[in-house]
This record gives sequence, structure tokens and C-alpha cells, in this order.
Amino acid sequence: MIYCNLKPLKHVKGLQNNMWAIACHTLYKVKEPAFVLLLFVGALLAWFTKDMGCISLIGEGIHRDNILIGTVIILSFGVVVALLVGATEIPKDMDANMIAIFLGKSLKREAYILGKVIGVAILIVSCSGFWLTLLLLSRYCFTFDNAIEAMSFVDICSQYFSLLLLLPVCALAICTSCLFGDLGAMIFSFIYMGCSLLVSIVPYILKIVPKPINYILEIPYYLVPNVMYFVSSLDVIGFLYLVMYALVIGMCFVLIAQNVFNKAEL
Amino acid sequence: MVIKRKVISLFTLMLFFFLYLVAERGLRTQVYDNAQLNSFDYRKTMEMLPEFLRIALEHQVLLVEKRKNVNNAKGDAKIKAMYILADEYGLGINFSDLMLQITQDSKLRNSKYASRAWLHVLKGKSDKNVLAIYLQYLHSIKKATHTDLIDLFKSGLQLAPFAEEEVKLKYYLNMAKNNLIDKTLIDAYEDFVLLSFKDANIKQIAEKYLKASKDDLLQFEASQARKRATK
Repeated sequence: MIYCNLKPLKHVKGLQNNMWAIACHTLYKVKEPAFVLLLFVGALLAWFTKDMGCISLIGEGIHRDNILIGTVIILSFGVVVALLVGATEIPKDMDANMIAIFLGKSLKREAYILGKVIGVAILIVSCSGFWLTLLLLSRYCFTFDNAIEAMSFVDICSQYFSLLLLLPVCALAICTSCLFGDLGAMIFSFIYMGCSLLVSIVPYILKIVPKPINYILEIPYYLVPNVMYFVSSLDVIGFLYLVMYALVIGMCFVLIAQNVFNKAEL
Repeated sequence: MVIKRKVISLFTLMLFFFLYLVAERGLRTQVYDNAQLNSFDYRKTMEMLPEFLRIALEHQVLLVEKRKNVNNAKGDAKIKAMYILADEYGLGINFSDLMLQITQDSKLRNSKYASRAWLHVLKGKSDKNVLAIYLQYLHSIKKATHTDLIDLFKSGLQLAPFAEEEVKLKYYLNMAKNNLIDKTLIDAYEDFVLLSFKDANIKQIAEKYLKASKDDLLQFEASQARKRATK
């Protein structure tokens, strides 16, 4: 069993001290038949959502409507897949005693965690990117209301930048899988992501409520990522902020995971 | 060595927190505090909400009052116009304008004047010719909805000053509620008209009144001006 699992690792150079090797090992999940089925389901989603319009988050008159509904659906599907895949990664390695082999080859625990996060993130982001490309292509080829003409280069970039949400989600999934078992990690991650959906209305509430309640509401707001930022239209500086936001949150989860994993008895 | 590592960790944590705050603030400015939203201050709006509501309500009351006044003026003008036209055509006015008013208001679904007219009808001020005209309008009245008739009689009951009229209105209301009003009324009026006014030139008079009912306010003013000129 262990030998079978290690087989793909032979093709990866510098296994001993390289987190990329762990990332590449995670990427071998692509060869599983279930994953091909997943790709097919995502492609179907892209096909069926190609005719849908854009989301208007606030209302008419405000230029906030360049994110496609199809993008949001694909992104949601990507989040679900990321949570399902990421939450099972480390518990699966532990169950198969793979982790002992990895760490026995003088691989640092921090590198292992980071490698896992990077591997899952590459996997999920590339899959979601593939679905999104399919969506845009099918929209371009088969939608006859000149919908694609209304989409500028910035609009198309916005669709792809929304995939940045998957970085913190992957890190969250890996982080929770260090804290709990695979099932517990999935449940906790889904609840956490639900909270991050709810928290997107907090800035609106903050404008209405008086000052002292403001500060109470700000505390939970900073504890979860705001999903709204990833499905909003932004300018160039906004995109930079978004990249920074996603990376910082992702790194926070990675740091927590590393801290927990370092203290764990394996 | 341990202290150095802890300091570095703390420094990294603070750096991350700072970067997070910077990114979050920048994004919040773009997403939540954009130009359109800045022009609309929620807190200020909430503070001013009672004032807004008061102004809106006052405005609404003024609008309703104005509409009411306009409707009253229009109604009065219609009645006056019909009186003048009835004089011009040499017809009795006691009953004619009121019957026309019923037909018009049934069409307009405005039961206020209709109920007023019904009261006059119930007082027994009738005119031969206009009953004949009313016969012409019966089919359009027949088209008036069931609920309209009920509303009409109900509002008539509210206005009824005499016990005898109240009894009659209650009777009509019951008939309307039981879907009998159209048939009963039409039958009654048809019999009455056919028996009493066999020789009346119904069609001619009806055309005159139809014309009069179409040009209400403008014609009223024109006729008034004409009347003033002749005087």
C-alpha cells in the first residue's frame, strides 16, 4: 500500500527537503477516476450557467455587476471541492502512515504543511480556472446576445481574480484538518465559510448602528474572510489589495496549521 | 535563540496583521465605500428618518387632499354642466343629471357621486325623458361589477338621512349581494318606461345626453361662457 502510494514520488526530484515535492504528490490526485468525474461535473456547470447574467450586489446605478453568476456558481463549487479535498489530505496521509515516510526523509513539518496547501491550491485553482475558461468560451461561442462583447478585459480578469478566494479556502481546509479529523474538518470548514458569507453584510450594518456596537461587530468581522471582496468589481489597486488579502489570510491559516502540526505527536 | 525566534514570530504576526488591515481597508473602501455609497450616508439617513417620514406623510396627505378637492370640483362642475345642458335642451333636470351621474360614475367606478345620485333617485324626483335615457344606459350599468354595486349601496347607506331611504337602500344592497340587482332593476325600469313613455323619442334624447356626458368640464365652461355672452 505504502509502496503504491510512493510510486509517483519517484518522478519528483529533490523529494527530501522540498515542499514542492509534497505539492506535486498532492497533484497526483488528478489521476483518480473520481477527479475526472468532478471535472466533468464542473464542465457541465459551466455549460448550464453560460446564459446567466451578472450579479448585482447592491442595485442599479452602481457599477458592481461585472461578475457572472456562472462564475459565482463555479467558485462555490470550487470552494466545496477545496474543502472536501483539503480536509481529507492530512488525515489520509496519517491513516496510510505516509506522513511518517515524508517526515522521515528529513522533511520539515512546516514545509509539509506549506506543500500540502500549495498542492491543493494549485489543484483546485487550476480546475476552477479550467471551468471558468470553459464558461467564458461557451459564452463566447454559444450565447448569441453579444454578451461577451459587453465584457471588457478588466471584466474577464475580474472573473479569474475571484478564484483567489480558493487560496484561503485551501489553507483553511488544511488548517482544520490539522486540528480535527477529516469529517470534523469538513464540518468546521463549511460552518466557517458560512460565517464568512454572513459577515459580508457587516460593513453595511456598521454604517447604520451607533458607535459602541460598531466595535463589538468589528471583532467577528476580522476573524473570518469576507467573501464579498472576491466577487466584487475592483480597479487595478483593488486587485493588488485582493491578492494581498487572499495571501495574508492564507498564510495566517498556514501559520496556525504549522503551529498545531509542530506540536502534534505523530 | 528561543527568544529570537519568538521575536521573529511576533514580528511576522504583526506584519501579517498590518498587511491584512491594509488590504481589508483598501478593499472595503472600494467595495463598500464607493462613490455612490459615500453620497448616501446610512447613519445620517437613519438620524433623519423621522423627519423624512413626517415630510413624506405630510406630502401624502396634501396630495390626497388636493386630489379630493380636484375630484370634488370636477364632480360639481359635471353637475353644473348637466344642469346647463339640460336647460339648453329643454329637459327636466331633477332626475336627468343624477341618472347620468350614475351611469358615468358606474363607468368610472367612483361610487361617491353615484351614491349621492341614488339618494336623489330615492327621493322620487323622476323625469320621463331621463328615465328613457336611463334605459339606454342600462346595459352599461349592467356591466358594472357586482362589488361596485355593493359599494355604491353601502356608501349610500352611510349618507342616507331618512329611514325610508335607508330601507330602500338596504333592500337594494341585499339584492346586489344576491346578484339580483341587475335583472330586477332593468326589469323594473323597462316595464316602467315601456308603459309610461311609449311615444318618447328615446334615441334622439339619448344621443344628446351621450354627447353631453362625453364633454364634461370643457363643455361646461364653454356653455357657461356662452350663457354669459347671451346674457
